[in-house]
Amino acid sequence: MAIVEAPQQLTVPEPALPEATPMGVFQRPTATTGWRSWVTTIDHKKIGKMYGFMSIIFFIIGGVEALLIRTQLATPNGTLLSAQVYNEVFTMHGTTMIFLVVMPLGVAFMNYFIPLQIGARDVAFPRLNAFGFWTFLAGGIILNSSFLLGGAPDNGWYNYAPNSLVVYSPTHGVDFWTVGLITTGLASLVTAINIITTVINMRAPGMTWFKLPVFTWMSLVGQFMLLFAIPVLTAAQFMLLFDRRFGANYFEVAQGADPLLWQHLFWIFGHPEVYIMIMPAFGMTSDIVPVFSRKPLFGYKVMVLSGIAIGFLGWGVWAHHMFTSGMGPVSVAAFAVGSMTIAIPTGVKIFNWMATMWRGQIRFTTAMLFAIGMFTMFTLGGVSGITHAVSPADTQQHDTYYIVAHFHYVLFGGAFLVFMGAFYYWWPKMFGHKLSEKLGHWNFWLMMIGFNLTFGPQHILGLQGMPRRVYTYLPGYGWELWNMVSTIGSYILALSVLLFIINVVYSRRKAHAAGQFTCEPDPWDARTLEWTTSSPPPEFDFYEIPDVQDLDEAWHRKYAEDENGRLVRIAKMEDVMDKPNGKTPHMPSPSYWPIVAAFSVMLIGYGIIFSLALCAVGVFLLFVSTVAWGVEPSTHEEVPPAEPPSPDTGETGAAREIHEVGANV
Amino acid sequence: MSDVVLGAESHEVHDPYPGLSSNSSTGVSHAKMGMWIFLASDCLLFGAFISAYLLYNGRAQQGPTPGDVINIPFTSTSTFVLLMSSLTMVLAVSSAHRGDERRLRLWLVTTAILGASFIAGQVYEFTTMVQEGLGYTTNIFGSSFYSLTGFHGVHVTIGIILLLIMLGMSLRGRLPKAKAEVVEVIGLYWHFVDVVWIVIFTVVYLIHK
Amino acid sequence: MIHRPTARRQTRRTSAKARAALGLGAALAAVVAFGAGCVPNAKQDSLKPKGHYAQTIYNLVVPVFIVGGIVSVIVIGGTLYFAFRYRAKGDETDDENIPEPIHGNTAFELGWTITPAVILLVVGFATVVTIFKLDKQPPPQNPHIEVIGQQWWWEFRYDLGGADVKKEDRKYDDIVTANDMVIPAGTDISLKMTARDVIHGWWVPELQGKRDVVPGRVTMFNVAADKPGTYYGQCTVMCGLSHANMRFTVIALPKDEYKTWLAEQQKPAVMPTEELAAAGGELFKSQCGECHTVRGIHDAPTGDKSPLTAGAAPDLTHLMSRPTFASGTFDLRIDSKRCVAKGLYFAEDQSCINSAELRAWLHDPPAMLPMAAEESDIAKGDVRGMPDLGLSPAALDQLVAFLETLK
Repeated sequence: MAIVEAPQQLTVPEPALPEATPMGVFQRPTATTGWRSWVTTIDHKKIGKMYGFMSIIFFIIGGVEALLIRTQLATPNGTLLSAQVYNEVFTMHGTTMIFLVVMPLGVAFMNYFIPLQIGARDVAFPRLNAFGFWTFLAGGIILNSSFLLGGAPDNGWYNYAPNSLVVYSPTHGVDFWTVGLITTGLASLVTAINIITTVINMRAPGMTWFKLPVFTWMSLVGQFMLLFAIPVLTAAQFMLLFDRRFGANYFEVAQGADPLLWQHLFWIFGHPEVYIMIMPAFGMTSDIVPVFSRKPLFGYKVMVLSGIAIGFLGWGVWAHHMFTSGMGPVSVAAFAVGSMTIAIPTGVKIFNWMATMWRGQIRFTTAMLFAIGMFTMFTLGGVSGITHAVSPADTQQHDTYYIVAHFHYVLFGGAFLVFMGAFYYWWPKMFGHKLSEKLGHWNFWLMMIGFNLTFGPQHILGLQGMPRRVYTYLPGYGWELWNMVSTIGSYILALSVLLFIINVVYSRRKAHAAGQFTCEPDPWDARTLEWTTSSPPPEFDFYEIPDVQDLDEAWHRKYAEDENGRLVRIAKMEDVMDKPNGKTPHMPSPSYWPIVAAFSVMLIGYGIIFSLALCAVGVFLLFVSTVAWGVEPSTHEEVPPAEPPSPDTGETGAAREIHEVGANV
Repeated sequence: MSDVVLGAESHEVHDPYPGLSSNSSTGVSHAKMGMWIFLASDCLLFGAFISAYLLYNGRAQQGPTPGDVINIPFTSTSTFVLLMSSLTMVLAVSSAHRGDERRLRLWLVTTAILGASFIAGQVYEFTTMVQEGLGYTTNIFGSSFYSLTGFHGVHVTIGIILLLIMLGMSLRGRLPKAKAEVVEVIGLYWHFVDVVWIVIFTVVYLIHK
Repeated sequence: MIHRPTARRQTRRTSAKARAALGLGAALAAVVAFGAGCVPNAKQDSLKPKGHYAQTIYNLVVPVFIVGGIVSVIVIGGTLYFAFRYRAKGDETDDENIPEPIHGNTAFELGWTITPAVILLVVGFATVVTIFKLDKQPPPQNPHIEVIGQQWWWEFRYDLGGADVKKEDRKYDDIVTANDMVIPAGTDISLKMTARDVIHGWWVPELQGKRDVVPGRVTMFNVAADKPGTYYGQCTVMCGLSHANMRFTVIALPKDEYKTWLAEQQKPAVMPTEELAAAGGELFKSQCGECHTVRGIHDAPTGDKSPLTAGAAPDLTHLMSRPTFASGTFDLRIDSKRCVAKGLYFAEDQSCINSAELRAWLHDPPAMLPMAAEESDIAKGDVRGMPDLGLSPAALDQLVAFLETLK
């Protein structure tokens, strides 16, 4: 079959008769099942699932690192980890959780659900999407392989210069950090371009800007922020890499360099990054709360506009991470006041979520519990955030466990809790069966208890003067009790994560044992477009591209006002859903080249660290895969029966090539 | 040109991939939209390197300083060459839209040659500077200068490769009028790289300490 | 527009629940406050200010904590109340009673935009005022101390002549000490801060907020202690292996005692005459002298000439006048009431000196604190921290005896 033959044809890049068979050179793979179908897939749903799977794997790795940290700090003078290993572990914990868990987990849901929510059949650039995933995985592998290849990065996720230079961090750890994150940065960049183009260009007819589901809206805002933030980090990382590998002087103080350059560049990326992580979570909460309150989102437009406002304000506040750097009272005052303004649109969101519940008909599904957990815990994180915006107070809180508590309330309590909720909410759409609600409730309550026990006490520890990033502490500072409580909490948290994994396995076995591989399209009585297609959706998402009439399109297909103005059910989703219409839309075939290109990026990465020869191999392979990417046909020859391959350069060939301009990138 | 690509109102009938390419909500094709979005992002990559250069301007602890090594007349000439390549790129795009493949190839080659001349000039310039004592590791001026202009040089080089790939496609008849947009999208990238150079030229060569 | 809901429930019962929820929130806040307040011996507690700078910060932040607490209770309490009050009957949706689709309410939304904005305006104003208040420089006649951070200890230089930080040719009438900063109580001290290698953070929570010390930059900062006492601090910016061990103290003395201290510290050391200690002195010059200075006996090379990355190691001239050694990690005095009661100049009494740990430290420093001072680092001429010099027991005895004379 072609699957076996296609890679061999690589060695013959010259087609025999290019004019006669413009597409015949590079065949595309055809597998739709088995591991090959995953490796070569360009289907946004499969890619979304792979993002989700890998994020959970990395979450487990980062979680184990967290448990190591907490075990070390459970008592004074902990001896589980040496100082060096501890520094590596906390650095990798932060880096993993931010770049390999929260960001890609958001992307997992965006990948799967944005096309479904806007009524499209795929993203704008399906192969680029696959490339993004494999490049993200390559970056994750580079980062984590550092443990096995001579030492992990050991300078914190922020990696302040000049402690990141070779003199102060002589292992290859920081190189792995730099190269790994440039790689994941590339993945994020192409994904951002893809998602933004998709949302701007591929909305179904009638899906105007103010009918977009809020998850799509917030993801769009977040991806725009990413688009502008990532290159700044990439530039800073290149500077650091050049300093470390090629002797540049960007951070050499003796040469007149200023260490604050790194801090400014890092936080110009780093603060928008916070919103990049939280934006999809805002969107999920805004989608989940209305469904289970059975009411439309309170103040939809205000929610959208406040999200956009946060997106803009998020750019003007980076230096609040530098209040203690001695940058002068005028800058500090400006950034303090600027940081406070962000609380206003954020507060609006929280109150609107509450108002959505007001006079609703609230069902306490696991998803709803997690969404409520999200915005209440996020409120606590937001309030402690205000106390840092008060910059004199921040000089007492900065770099202490109070900050650790704050950002875990925002990123775990805010983002991760509702990601859990999103798993429970969207699971039936993705896998054709629900997760167990009973285990889900246990999961939720254990997670809430564990989370609050872990991070609540850290507020107190921080205010009592315990700095962060310390591998040990002495007795006699009054930190023993709350450290122990926090450690106990972290194990309860770990238990709740274990329960989630058990739930996934258990629910899947139960459903499959009962022969259930699909479920009803709309198990939650939901509101947005993804619930109008089957669960799981067909490969092409929709048989017929929906014609969108309303915000909350799915809801309005099911409910209308009667003559008295009362809301009544007029249809079941099964009756008004997207159904087979006799036509099978053709999708572009899978492709080998995204994973090959991503692999060559990984080779280049390792090459920069270890050997420039490896780099050269990677560059060559990247060049080959780019050319192959450009010349391979958009579908496998056998796939489109409607368009028999024409022996000459007829219209069919030309028409098919046109799609390569847009779709086949 | 874009009628085929963009204008398919009835997406269900003629389009084998509805929703993928031909049905853009904005009327701008995905490729062009994607390129614009990428270029917006790339601005900040250069922005960061230019900011670093400006911050370190005049802070080098030892020479050579920009005044010692920069040859403004020479670089002005290569800047002019690069700007001319934007003009020839415009001509290439318009030839592509007219379906004049012979002219398209002519202008693509001319653009690539002008770009290559610029790169050759940069290589000459770097070699001269190294001979005059400004290595990459000599001082912070050296590091920030070579990194900034080097990144730009890499961008131009990638542009030249893209031009050559398009030339190859055209020679094989794979750049018909209907695909003129490929040339246009690559052209956007080329113009962007030129505009960035104007900024770099101003910052590095015209206002140095 | 908002319409009355068609389905109503007992409001009396639920308002009691609301009160219960609020009570619960208040109780939780009280537990946390109690937890924060009741821990004894919290030596670095930022909520127990002992100097007027810390007090100013405290006065600003406490109202913010209270407002934040109220907001949290409103949001969490309100959410719990709504969750209870508007819960569905059972798990299924009730098609007979579909809630009114309320799409928004301009007045409410304006309300919860403007109210936080007004609160934040007040907080922002107070913040800006406080920022400039804290930044005000003490009068020039007040003491100036240079704070210099390096891996993994703090140097304090007393600029008695009021010279500027970059002055290289210092005389012995300037005082150089390490890890224990002595100040007069009740006086605003001006700090000039910088670092020799990487960024460190200077923080004594009871006296002042923290400030980064950045290599290549000099920042001005202030500190003051209301009353005499010892105040604990540590490095807050991740600075490598022994970041966690980079502790220091600020010792505030009554003004007259401070003057005595200054006079004592300005005296150079003299080579001991006693045999064991004199041998130790010679050993010091050969073994320790490449990095350490004892004024009057030996000057170590500094800057590029030093084998240390930072270019300097602690000045040991008056080592025995300090309460701690090795970055404030080990007490230099035995932890007994008798010795502690003797105060700062306890070292008059030989039996009070913690010679055992001092000896262990000299024997193998990297075993006691993680440092980058292995053989390979020494070979590279890139030592960070104190290496194991492989001293014999006899040599250790001599060295300890010598160090004990440095009062």
